[in-house]
Amino acid sequence: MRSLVIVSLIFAAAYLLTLPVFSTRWSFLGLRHLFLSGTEFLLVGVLLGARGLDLLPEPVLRALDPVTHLALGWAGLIFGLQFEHKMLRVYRLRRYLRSFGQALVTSVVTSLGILWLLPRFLPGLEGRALVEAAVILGICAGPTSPSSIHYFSRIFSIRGRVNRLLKFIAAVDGIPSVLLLGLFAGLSHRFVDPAADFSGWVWFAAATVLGVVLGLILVSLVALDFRRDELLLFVLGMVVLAAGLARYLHLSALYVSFVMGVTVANSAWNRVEVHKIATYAEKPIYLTFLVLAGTRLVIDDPRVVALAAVVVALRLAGKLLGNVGWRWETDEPLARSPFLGLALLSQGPLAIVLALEFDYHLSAEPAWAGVGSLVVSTALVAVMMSEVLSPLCLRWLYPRRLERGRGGAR
Amino acid sequence: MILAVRQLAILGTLLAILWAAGLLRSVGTTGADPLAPGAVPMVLGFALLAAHLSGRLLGYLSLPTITGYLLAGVALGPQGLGFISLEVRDSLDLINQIALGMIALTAGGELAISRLRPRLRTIGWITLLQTVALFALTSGGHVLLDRWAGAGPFSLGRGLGPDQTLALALVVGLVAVANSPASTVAVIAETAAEGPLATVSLGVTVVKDVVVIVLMSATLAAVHGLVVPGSSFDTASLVLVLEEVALSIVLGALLGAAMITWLARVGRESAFFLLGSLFLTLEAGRLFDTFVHLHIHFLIVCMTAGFAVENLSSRGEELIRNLERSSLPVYVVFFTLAGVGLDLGSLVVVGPLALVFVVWRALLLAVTSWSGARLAGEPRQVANLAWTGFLPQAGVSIGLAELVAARYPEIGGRFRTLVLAAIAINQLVGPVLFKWALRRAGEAGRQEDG
Repeated sequence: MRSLVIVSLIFAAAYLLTLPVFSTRWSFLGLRHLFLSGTEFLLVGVLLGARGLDLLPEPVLRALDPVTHLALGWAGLIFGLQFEHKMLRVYRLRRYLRSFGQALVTSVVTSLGILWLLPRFLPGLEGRALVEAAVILGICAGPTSPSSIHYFSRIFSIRGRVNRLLKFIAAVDGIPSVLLLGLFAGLSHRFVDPAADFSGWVWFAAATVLGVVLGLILVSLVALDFRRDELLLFVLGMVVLAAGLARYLHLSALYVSFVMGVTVANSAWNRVEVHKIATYAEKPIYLTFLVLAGTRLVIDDPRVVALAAVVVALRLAGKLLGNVGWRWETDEPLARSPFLGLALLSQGPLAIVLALEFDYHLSAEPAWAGVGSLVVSTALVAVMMSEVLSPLCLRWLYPRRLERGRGGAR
Repeated sequence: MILAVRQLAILGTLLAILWAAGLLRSVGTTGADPLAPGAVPMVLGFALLAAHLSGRLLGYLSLPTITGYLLAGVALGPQGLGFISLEVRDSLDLINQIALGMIALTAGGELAISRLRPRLRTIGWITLLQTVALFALTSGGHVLLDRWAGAGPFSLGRGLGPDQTLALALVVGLVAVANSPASTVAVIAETAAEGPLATVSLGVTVVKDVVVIVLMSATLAAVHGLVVPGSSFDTASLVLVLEEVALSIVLGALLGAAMITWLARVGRESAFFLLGSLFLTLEAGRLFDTFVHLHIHFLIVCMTAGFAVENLSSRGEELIRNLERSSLPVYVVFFTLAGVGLDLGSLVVVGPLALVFVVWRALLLAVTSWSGARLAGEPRQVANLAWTGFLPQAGVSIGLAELVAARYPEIGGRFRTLVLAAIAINQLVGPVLFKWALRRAGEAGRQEDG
């Protein structure tokens, strides 16, 4: 019942916050302005889950396991499909270094902060579980969701160089986190499946090879003479297969699908069609996934909320620090603003997928059982907090401190 | 030919990957647990691809793709390579139910009143004749056959008393009436057929699905009176079923109204809304079952909703067409899992009797469909071909066989085997004949032309 009240309060707060941000009229749709990447569906999951109306009890969630895997794999595929080498070569290397660098700085700052603070929230937590929790929250903090930046640049009609830089960073700064996840899954393999006596690097290599092979199979499938609905089926089948295989072998579904996506992007004649179909089906899959993820959210534990607030603060510090450190990368004066990191606060699907992937991967570890739920909930609540704060930060930056556009707030 | 070889090569590679994964996994602790984390999605993904590639390969022989899915299900299931165990199939039940709901929604959505109106008499006549004739003549035929066959391979009721033989005859008659709207709508969707034959076939299978549920209740009430000593015909259960059917239709109308409102007011994220609604409807059914002790017929709910959306909303047709366009994975999942459940082993046990049943049923379907269509003034070609749409059998018949076997083991054991064997034949042969009929009638591909 407490969860229901809290969810109602969050929705009410979100309504109220739309007023100062967008001066929008008082309407249900005003909510859309604050949860730009659909994270409100996490709250729908809370309502439907065991802590709410219990319409999605544990057996039902187990039955919907393939849907969750589909979403994990889909996120990886879509993310990977963006990286076609011809497109990548358009930008200079230092721009990539800047994007990856600020994400890594954010992850390190968040991890170190959590490593120091977490024992104060959870006395007795130590050893590998503590390090894992800190690393996971740090890796989840790295990526930026491009939705807020896209939304604001549309609202204020901003199309300048700083805006383009921000969009670029948000599009690619998830790569370090995905790679770290793949590496983490490989290196920690011996903890989740002690009998499998290959080294962690071998498992990491196996995940990469698996992604490439599955990508090539998808390339072969889409090279067949197909109809549009068949293309959907091929992509759907391959993504579920890739995610299932990865989980079955205790590897990362997101990483394997990401590699599959990169392979397709760089070797399929029909890559554009694959990208179109992946984008077409993304929304229902993603929204369903958010609802399912929401059922795991422990929102009524004060420790979760406090820890999430800490994560958001650390992340904000990391983003500011990371971008200040890479100011020299651009010769655009506005992009050297010390506040630029504020524009990269938004977090979305990738962070949620990362959090759940880590939890899935470590669920076989006994030491993880006690903290898994708390860490995942913290990551999810932090995403929601960032989603609420991000428009406020962007509103403060745009259009006065960054570029000016041709339009005004609607 | 080259395409077929390429598809076979892809299929082989996928099999090799699955085999290698099994080997790698067996290096670890858990070995070959069919429900190990990740196993179900892995098998589902593989089944989706393997079944569809099989369907495509059969397509080169002009066979329906759903026959390919069914055969792939048999090949991947416990009777074949064993990739899809019964545990995995059961764990996919919720997804299978949602797939069935989407197929039923499409079936209801195909029934546009404007198309149905000129065929209402035909649908009425065929439904009436098939229900009465198939039920009465198959039941009667079974009694006679049993008396004639004695203890031979054609006897189903060996060692039963007269009352029990009659009870068995009644349930055999009921199974003969049942058909599979899912198979009918799948073949129509695959061939993009439109015309009198498609409309009549779908209309009759949908109406008969409701009729069979009511008839099932009446039959089981009579069976109870015959099999259980000292009991009589249970009228209360018949009334209960009528209430349940009415409630399912009302729920379907409400679901349809919700969809229409969503389409009119929101208009976005319809796929998400649709999936959510189907899931909530299943949940509502579970709650009704648990707390009110009323069984909601999910198939009827979804068919009613589809019918309402198609006929009462200006954007209904758009929704149904969108649903059709992305329904291929739904058909693949549903029919592959149905293939896993096909019991080909039962053919060995009751093969001759199952063959007699299938031929007898087909004969009666042909006669009743021809008579019904001619009485309603349909052209000769529609009358000649209409029976092919009613051959496939699936869910309701399996449900009835399981129910009878569980409730009345004295008559249910061999009956269940017969039904499963007959379904295996009808489900494999029916779609092939129906696809041929739709082509022969010149209705295949007309949706695209329109």
